[in-house]
Amino acid sequence: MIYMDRRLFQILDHINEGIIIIDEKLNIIYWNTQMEKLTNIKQEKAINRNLYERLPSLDRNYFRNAIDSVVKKDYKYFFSSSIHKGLITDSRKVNVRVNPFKIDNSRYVLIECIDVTSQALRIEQLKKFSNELYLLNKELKEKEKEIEKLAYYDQLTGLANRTLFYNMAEKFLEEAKRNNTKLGLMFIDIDQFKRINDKYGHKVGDQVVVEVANLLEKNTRKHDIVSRYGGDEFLILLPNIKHYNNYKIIASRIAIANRRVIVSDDIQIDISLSIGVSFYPRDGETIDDLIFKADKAMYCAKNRGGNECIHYITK
Amino acid sequence: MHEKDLTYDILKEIFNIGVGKAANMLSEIVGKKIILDIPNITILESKEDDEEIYKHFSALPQGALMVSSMKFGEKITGEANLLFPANKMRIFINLCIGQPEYMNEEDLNFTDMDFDIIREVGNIILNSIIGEIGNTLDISLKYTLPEVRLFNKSKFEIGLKDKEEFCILLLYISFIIDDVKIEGAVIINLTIDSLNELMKMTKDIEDDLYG
Repeated sequence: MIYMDRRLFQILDHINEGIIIIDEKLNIIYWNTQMEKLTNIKQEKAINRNLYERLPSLDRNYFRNAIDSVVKKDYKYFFSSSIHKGLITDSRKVNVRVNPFKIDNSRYVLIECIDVTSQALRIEQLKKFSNELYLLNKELKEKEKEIEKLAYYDQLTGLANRTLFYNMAEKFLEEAKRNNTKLGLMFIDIDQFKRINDKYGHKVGDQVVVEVANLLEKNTRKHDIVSRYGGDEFLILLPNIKHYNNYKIIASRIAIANRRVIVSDDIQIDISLSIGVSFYPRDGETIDDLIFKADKAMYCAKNRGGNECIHYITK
Repeated sequence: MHEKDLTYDILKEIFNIGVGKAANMLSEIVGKKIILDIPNITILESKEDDEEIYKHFSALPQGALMVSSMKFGEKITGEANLLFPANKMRIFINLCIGQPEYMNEEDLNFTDMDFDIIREVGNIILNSIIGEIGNTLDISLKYTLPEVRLFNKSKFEIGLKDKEEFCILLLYISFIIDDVKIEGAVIINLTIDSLNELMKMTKDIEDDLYG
């Protein structure tokens, strides 16, 4: 039996962590008052009893191996409360440290049980709070995107709105000036749109606008910017046009696309578009110049009966 | 060269036996299949030129490191450091405690509870590695429990190089838990005498093997 001054044991009774001392045969030779509080097992019921008999929760293969290494190889072990639930008690979170020591050629194992329940609780609360902040932040970022979408995209068609069109147009124009390339601009207007609205109502008018938007998106190139300028007017930016005449390829794609809008079984509307085109540098130096000239060309097409694409001609 | 390779292979084998035991224990604790492997080891001495040392350090994980450091002593003394990339530790910790995915897996804010988990895992791995050195040399060692810290990699390197005379056993270690592979390293600082002793014992094993 370990010889130890009783007073030392008394001091250990005042330590704020559970202390168990066992001998090489795994018999409990000391059990402090903090251990009594943690486990509800009184000192006198623990001392001289086998460790695993008294605390069956420790009777796990890895814990037995660990104690074996502590006794035989002087290893030290640390078992964290987060991984080992219920190692000492189910009601508290306890970190366990296992240390060997030797007195007069006899080996002993000191098992320290540190109650970290309140810290764990606080950390859990902080984690919960930080998760909430994370979610809130994510939500705000999504809202920000939504607001951006409202600011730059047309709600009805999902196309770029005027603001985004001007932003992109300035960027493309600068690029064209820098690289000596051509920038095309198409002004598109739906023929007889007022009549469609008057005859079928605004809801159908909106449906037609959406169909035209889809048609334009589908039949332009990947980097072209299709935007809704307002009402039934659309603008398309055509960057990096190699030859002025190349706009015809895009115009003919739009021309041959299916332009029948099926509103219901009884109502089918065949739509046609009037398109005017202008180019930097031939027709103007600024975006407003280009819009003005393309608009003029578009009216020219309209005056000739619509359903046509005309480029601006300087007189 | 061949002779040296063989000695390294034997050392590697010794350490792999150690970490194999650690992997078994960790698998049992965590309740998941864990594989630990030491694919490569290197010995670095202060007499080697900086470039050579730098070459080996640059192969270590990049960025912030989670380092568990354990001292050992008695017949041979030194310090063992287990290094893992800190940005992999969140997913690792969650796997250890079976917690569902945390929002931000690359989060570098760790709580005391997180550090405790790393301390426990580091303790088991380092025990097994240093324990095998003790076994090989047939000596008993005294260990401390590991301290866990977050390091910036460059600071960690400077800290090591500041020591005037050093001998480093560098073990590359891969940790596989639930199909997640984490590459780390174990850096063991030994005195030259301890290293020589270890190499001598390894050579003896080699001689026993090949007569």
